[in-house]
Formats: sequence, structure tokens, C-alpha cells
Amino acid sequence: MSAHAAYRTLRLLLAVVLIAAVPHKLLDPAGFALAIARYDLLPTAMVNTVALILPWVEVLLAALLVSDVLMGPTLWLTNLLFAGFTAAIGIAMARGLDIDCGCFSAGTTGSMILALVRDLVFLLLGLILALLYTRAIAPSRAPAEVIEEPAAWSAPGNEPSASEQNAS
Amino acid sequence: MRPSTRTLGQAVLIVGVAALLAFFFNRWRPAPLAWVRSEAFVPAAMTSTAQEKMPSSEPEALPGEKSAATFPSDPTAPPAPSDAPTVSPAPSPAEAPPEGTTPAAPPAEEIPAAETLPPLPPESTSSQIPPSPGQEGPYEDPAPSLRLLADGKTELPLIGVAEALQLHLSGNAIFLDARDPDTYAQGHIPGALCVPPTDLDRLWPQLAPLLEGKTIVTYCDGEACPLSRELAEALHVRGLMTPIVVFGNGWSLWQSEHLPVTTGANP
Repeated sequence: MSAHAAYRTLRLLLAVVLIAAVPHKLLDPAGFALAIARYDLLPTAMVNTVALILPWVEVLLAALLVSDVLMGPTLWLTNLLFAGFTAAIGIAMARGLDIDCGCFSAGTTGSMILALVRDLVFLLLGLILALLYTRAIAPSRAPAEVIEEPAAWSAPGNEPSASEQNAS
Repeated sequence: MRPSTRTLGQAVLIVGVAALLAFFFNRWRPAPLAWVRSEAFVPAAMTSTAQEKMPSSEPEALPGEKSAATFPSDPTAPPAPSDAPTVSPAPSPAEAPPEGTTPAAPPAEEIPAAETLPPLPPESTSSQIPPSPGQEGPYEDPAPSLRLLADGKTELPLIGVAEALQLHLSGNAIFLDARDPDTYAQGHIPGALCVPPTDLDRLWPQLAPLLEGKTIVTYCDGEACPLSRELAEALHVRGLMTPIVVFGNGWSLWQSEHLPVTTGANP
């Protein structure tokens, strides 16, 4: 699988994951706020704000992932989001809480360990995608957009030839 | 892999757009969620199980004790001390849930009530005792402070979501939804009847027998919603001997605690 194909697959996969997590949060913000509150991590005053904004961040990130624009900030935010979710679940587990993770549909009372592993996988996929982007995709794009990043690894121009090889 | 300032700026922009979208979407929703939550949540265990651990007298006991403490030096106020023992003398603040679902309003509202307390004749307390001889379960006498309602000039007590939930579970309360029928049909507390204050006269003949011997809980939606209070006062002036309480901002609080709701028109 060429870097570009993997990149596209992962983008769409993560977009689907993000979108799948959105509907119940948008339709039942009060329930989602309660789910957040049960983690007991945020100050009470912030719980509702986060519950209201978070689903829209996910919607925007999914849209940006699909449309493949502003990928730098999108990937940073996506990975930050998954890292945050993973950390929240990890902390809750460490405290011995057994709560509805609030990840996907409300009321899915899967085990916390499952949610943790799932989020770790998403985080891993997001990191792979970010790596693919910075090392293979961005260098092949217009250099004006990413000046500082391609220098880290290889000379620009490697990737297109590699993908051409694969394609042929 | 450090993000450049440009990347950071774009990330902030994305979050900002999301916040904007969230703001408009929340405004567009029929029942918007408050952006900043002031009241703590009922812990998960309380909404699902183990409600019996909730101290039922907690919201009333506090104002009751406060009113007794307000007039310690007043020799003409014997009813206050006599009232205190009935206010389940347990140290309820100690066993109260730390979230303290007690709304901030009651203490302030009970101060005027306390002023009317001294002249309150003893028969008003005795008239309130009958309703609960054989009650089952953990539910106790709904609210000692409610007996003040027999007096015409007292404020109707406000209750929080924890007490509303307990009244609901006790089966000894009837919930009256003061909002309009359309809103009611979209969702309401299970078992609640739709009684807008303006329709009370029309509905009264059917309603009156249902209220017999039950604690009446009125609610509407929103911090400043006047309907539940209007309904409670309209019921109060009809001279009902049953306790009437107002579940302030009831619908929003009920929903935000993820408690069961039902839809459909008035039964």
C-alpha cells in the first residue's frame, strides 16, 4: 500500500470514527455533560461548555480530514482529542470508577478497559496518520504550506517516485 | 514535530469555529443547555440506584434549623423549638451528599416563613400529621417545613432535583407540568399531568380527586420560569391541605440528570 493510499484510508477511517461519536452528543448535550461530569476531571462550571463545544470540534475535524485541508492543525487536534479521551478513561480507571465512557452512543455500558484500548488504537492510528502526513504527504505538496517540516526526514521528491513505483 | 505558530493559530481557529457552531446550535435547540453549570451533578449511583441513601429531610432541615437559630433570644417564639424536634433531628448536613443539590433559594425564602412561624397555631401542625400513617419505604414525611403552607402568607418551598426525584420515587407525590400542552407532549416527567396555570379552572374538576393526599410538585422550564410558581399559588389559594412544592427549573434539571422522561399528551 503506497503512502498516499494509506494516508487516504486512515483519514477516512478517523473521520468515520469522529462522526460516529457525534450524534448522541449533539442530540443529548445534557446527557453528554453528565457523562463528562462523572469523570470528575473538569470543574463543574466547565462541564457544560465542553459538552457543547466538543461535538462540533469533532464534526469540523471529521470534515477537514475528509476534505484533506488544513491537515497540520487537524491532525494535531485529532491526536490531542484522542490523547485526552485516553487519558480521561485511564485516570477514571485508575481511580476505580466504572462509568459510561460517553464515547459513542449513550448508555453503551461496555467495560472501561475496552474503551481504553479502543481509544489507544484510535490514538495510534492518528499518530501514524500524522507521521505519514509530515514525512510523506506534506513534502510532496506545495512547499509554501509546510516550510519547516519536510527538512526533518528526507529530501522532497522521494515519495512521489516511491508511489509511482508502487502504482506501476 | 513541534507545531508552528501558524499551525497553532489554525487549530485555535478550528476550535473557535466549533464554539461558534455550538453556540448557534445550542440557541436553536428548543431546550438549550446552560453554558456554565452552577449546580453540581447528582452522582451516578444516586440517579440509578440507592436513592434511599438520600437524606430526605436535608433541604428542609437546613432552613428549619436556620429559622430556629434566627430567633434564639425571642421568648415569644415557643413554636420554633417545638417545631425543631419534628425536623428529623439527625445531623443531616453531615450525611448529605457533598454535591449539595439543595438549591440556593430555600434559606433566603424561608426567612420570611420563619417570621410567620411564632404566631402559627398548634392545630396547623396537627392538621398536617394525618397524611402519612402507613407509608412504605424509605420515604419519610415529605417536608416538615411544608406545614407552613397551612398559613396563607408563607412562600411555597422550592425543591431541588434530588428531592424531586425522591418524591417521584415515593409514589406519594403528583407532578404537575405548568408548561403549555405542546411542550408537555414533547417530553415531561413520567406521570406528570399537564396543567398550565391558565387551564387550572377548566381542569380542576378532573384534577381535584387526583391530588387527594399527595404532595403536589409543580415544575416548568428555566431558572426564571414563573409558571410553576403561579400554578402552585393558584392551587394554594384553593385551600388544599396537601403540601405544595415548586421544583425550580424542574424540566431542565430533570433532563440534565438524565432521568427518565416520557412524551405524549395529557392522559
